[in-house]
Amino acid sequence: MALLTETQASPRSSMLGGEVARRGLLALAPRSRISRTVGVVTMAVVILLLLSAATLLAGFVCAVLLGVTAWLVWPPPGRDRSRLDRWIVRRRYRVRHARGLDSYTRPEQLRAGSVGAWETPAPIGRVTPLDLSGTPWSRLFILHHAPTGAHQFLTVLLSTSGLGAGLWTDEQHAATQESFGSLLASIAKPGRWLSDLGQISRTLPQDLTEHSGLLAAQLNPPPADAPRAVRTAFRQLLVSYDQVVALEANRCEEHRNYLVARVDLTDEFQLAAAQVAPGPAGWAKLVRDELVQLTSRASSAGLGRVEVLGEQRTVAALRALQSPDYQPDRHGGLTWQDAFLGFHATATELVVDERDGTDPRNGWYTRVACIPVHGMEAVQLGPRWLAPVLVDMSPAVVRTVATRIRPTAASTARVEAVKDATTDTSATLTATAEGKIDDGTARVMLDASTRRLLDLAPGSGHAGAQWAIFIAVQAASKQVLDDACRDMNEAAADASITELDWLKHEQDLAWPAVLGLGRGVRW
Amino acid sequence: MTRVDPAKRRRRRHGDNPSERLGWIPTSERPAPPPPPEPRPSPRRRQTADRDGFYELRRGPHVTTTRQAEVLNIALAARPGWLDRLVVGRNVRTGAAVTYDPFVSYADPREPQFTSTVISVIGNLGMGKSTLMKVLFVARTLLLGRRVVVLDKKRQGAAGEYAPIANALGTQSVRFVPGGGPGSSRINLIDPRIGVATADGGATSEGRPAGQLELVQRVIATYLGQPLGALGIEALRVGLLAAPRRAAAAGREPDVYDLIWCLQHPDPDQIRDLYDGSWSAAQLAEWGTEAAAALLVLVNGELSGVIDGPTSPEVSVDHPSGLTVFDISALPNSGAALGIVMLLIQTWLAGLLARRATAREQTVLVVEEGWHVASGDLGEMFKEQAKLSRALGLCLVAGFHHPSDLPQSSPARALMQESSTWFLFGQDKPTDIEETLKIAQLPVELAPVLAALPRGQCLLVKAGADPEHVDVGISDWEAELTNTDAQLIGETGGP
Repeated sequence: MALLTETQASPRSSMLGGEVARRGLLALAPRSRISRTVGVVTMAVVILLLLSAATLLAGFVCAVLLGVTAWLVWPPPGRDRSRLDRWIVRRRYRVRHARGLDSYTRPEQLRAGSVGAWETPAPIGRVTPLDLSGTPWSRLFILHHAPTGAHQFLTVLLSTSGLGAGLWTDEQHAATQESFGSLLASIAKPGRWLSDLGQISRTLPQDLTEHSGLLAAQLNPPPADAPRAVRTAFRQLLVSYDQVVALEANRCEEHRNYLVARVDLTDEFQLAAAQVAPGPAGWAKLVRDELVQLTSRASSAGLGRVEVLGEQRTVAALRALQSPDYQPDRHGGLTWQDAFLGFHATATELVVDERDGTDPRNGWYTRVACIPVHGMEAVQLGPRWLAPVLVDMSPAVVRTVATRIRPTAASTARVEAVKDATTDTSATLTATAEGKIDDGTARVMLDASTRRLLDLAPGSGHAGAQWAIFIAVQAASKQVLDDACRDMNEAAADASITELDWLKHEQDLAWPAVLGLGRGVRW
Repeated sequence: MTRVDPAKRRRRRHGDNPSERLGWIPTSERPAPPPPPEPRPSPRRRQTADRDGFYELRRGPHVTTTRQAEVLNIALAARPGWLDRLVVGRNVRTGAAVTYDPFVSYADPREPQFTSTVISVIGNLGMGKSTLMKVLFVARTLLLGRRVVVLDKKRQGAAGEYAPIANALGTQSVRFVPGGGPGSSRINLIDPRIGVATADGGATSEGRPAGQLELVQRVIATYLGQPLGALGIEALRVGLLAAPRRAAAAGREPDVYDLIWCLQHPDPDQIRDLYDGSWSAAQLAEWGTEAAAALLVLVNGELSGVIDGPTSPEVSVDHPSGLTVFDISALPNSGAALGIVMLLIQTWLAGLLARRATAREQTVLVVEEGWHVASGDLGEMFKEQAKLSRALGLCLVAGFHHPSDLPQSSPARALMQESSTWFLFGQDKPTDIEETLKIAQLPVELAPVLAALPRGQCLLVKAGADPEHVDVGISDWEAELTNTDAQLIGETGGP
């Protein structure tokens, strides 16, 4: 058995791609309500027209109407969004920009004429820490998210030490992988309140300032009466070591890993919580119980040491995720009020933590991408499939990779899988019967749905899962950001990601998705 | 003609309202800046628009199962390692900086399995093994005030390969050359400073330096291939008592010639005092014949110019550079010379370690070509020293290249197996790879990785931790200093 490398398939590999197109009669890709409405209304008009006057002209008008509508609402090949959807996204960006919703200025940085004077950034909305003072769970720092369009939910940020720095054998990887799968499956079981799990990997240039400080304290120069050659040699040793530190600071990166536990405030949850204690105390008790299980299972899944973060460390982590200027370990004196840094968005990027002209730190140009539905290759992936993006980028790029995984009950997922497999089988059989030559899409989709069906077979212990990945890249200037994004595209291609959607006109909206707040996905 | 009141004219020019005035305005009259806007609560979201993603991103998810989602664990890289140790290089697997310090690791309760400060550096020639030893355990270690002692067996040009490093660091190698000659050094076999192996330099009750008799005895035994008999040892003891008196009469330090003379010509008065007439000087001379002959052969043969005079000043335990390099590259591999010199160095080192351990100071002993020195009696001594390393504040770093050549029972192999850290460089012979993995207790799955390691990269294996793939980082100065190709490519080393 060979040692696992990025290029070798693991004995326990997985496939994430394959769902390359949408199923169903219209096969409309993820779309806005408006787009869907346009489609339905057009169909209604066409039917009415044909019923009222079955003339050649009516037929011609209907054909034109259908053509135009299809052009508008059907996504072009290889795209997730229709033309109408993209127009809506552009239009909405302009509206948000006009209302100042795409900017945020911290209260102490507000000047006359400042834009984005919000209490919390608009894309984050109403988020407040639960007041647990006086309860047995006062050390927990739980955020209560109350955006209007979806269920309210709670999140807790945890730090993990990660899988390690060493080389692992196939067996070690396989065991860890299996444990992670079990962790996810356990979340889908009845009686668990955890609704989804997020992971964040933050990569920054290695900061060796602390090392230099510690070493300086240990230096032991030769005595003043030592020969000049010895004193000169010591200076040379110092200069040389400084160069080594500078070299490593340039080429090394440091990684921080976080877990985001999200609990939806469903009716069942609130009822169960009310039986424990009234209000937030009851919520906190149930969340704490979930965290106990999560930390124990996550440790055995190879995530290393898992720690639930308190207010200061959560805020420090949030700031470090927004700007490389802030260290995740420097959390002294921070409060929730310090959590968000100012930003302003353009169509293609955000500028985070921009200061006035005198401050050398003049903002971090940030671009966020997601992996679209058709953006994964249908290939077997080993445990280090994402290593080109996570750890192997050269030159180094400041980046955040965030995942969201929502396990779903096996029974529900099985019903969905049966439906999809039936559709795919039927489509394939029909195409074969009609002698149609397929581009491979139907076969890949059938494989994907069949795989799900097999995984979800009763007794397998697996559950369904929905997932999303967001990637944020940061740089000190737009030029460098463009280069970094190009490098990221290449690294993603090496990781079997065929496309990254850089979310044009949605950068402000996508920002919270990489901040460990359990955002970015419509489940 | 209308006269204009000057005050009115001024009012017209500047305006009544200070904010409308042009030009410089006194501070006191400047208008207050408009107040900054008050932060507003987040805008009220319309439910439909919010679901559609107007206020925040709401992308559709990918669909899969928890079996396939197993690979979505993205915590591949650990958080940064400890920063209170010396930088080694970059972890190729994670991109993080790798730091290392055996003394700090040993003291760190977070590394409970790091129980020894013996380090083995194993790898093929030319893969960067020597460079790592020079930069990490010599150059960078000296910054922290630790004493570094190097046994330099590998010849590079006219001297050992550490000679340029010693020169660059303001000292010079202690070079042993059979027959002596310019630039060579001596260790006086009966130098009281060499023979003392106690921290305070104590002497025996009869005034002879502690450990001196044992040293000379072992030197002779090494040459003879068998230990001296009791009578020979007794003659040697008496000779060692007499030699300093003979030298003092001549106003100089005692040396091996004084000892030989005293063995051949025991002082009758001294013998009478010592034995109260029981034994005679003639008897002592007879008992000492074998020892005297052995020493005579050595000082006139293999160790001429090495042990036959006063100790050279560069053999100092207190050199301010902190570095002592024993250049033994000129000594022949066969014969007793190498073993005897190593014995002397060991004894010198034992004295040094005892003194430094008392002062709670740490020492690093670097042995290039460890297989040369870690065999036979000497190997046993190194093994012993490795066992005592904790008590002595000693870190023993030994380099090896073909582990498969070493017999299973060799002290060198035992030394490698007792290490708590292994730096494994590239190997090409399958037997060496197999042996290396066995010594470092690594799974055979790592064989292809070890075989494919390029020059300058190694596996850092610490007891109780996963092996790390490290790209060793060196500065330009270190690169220049550790360049061992000058002879091969014909560089002259400067204008």
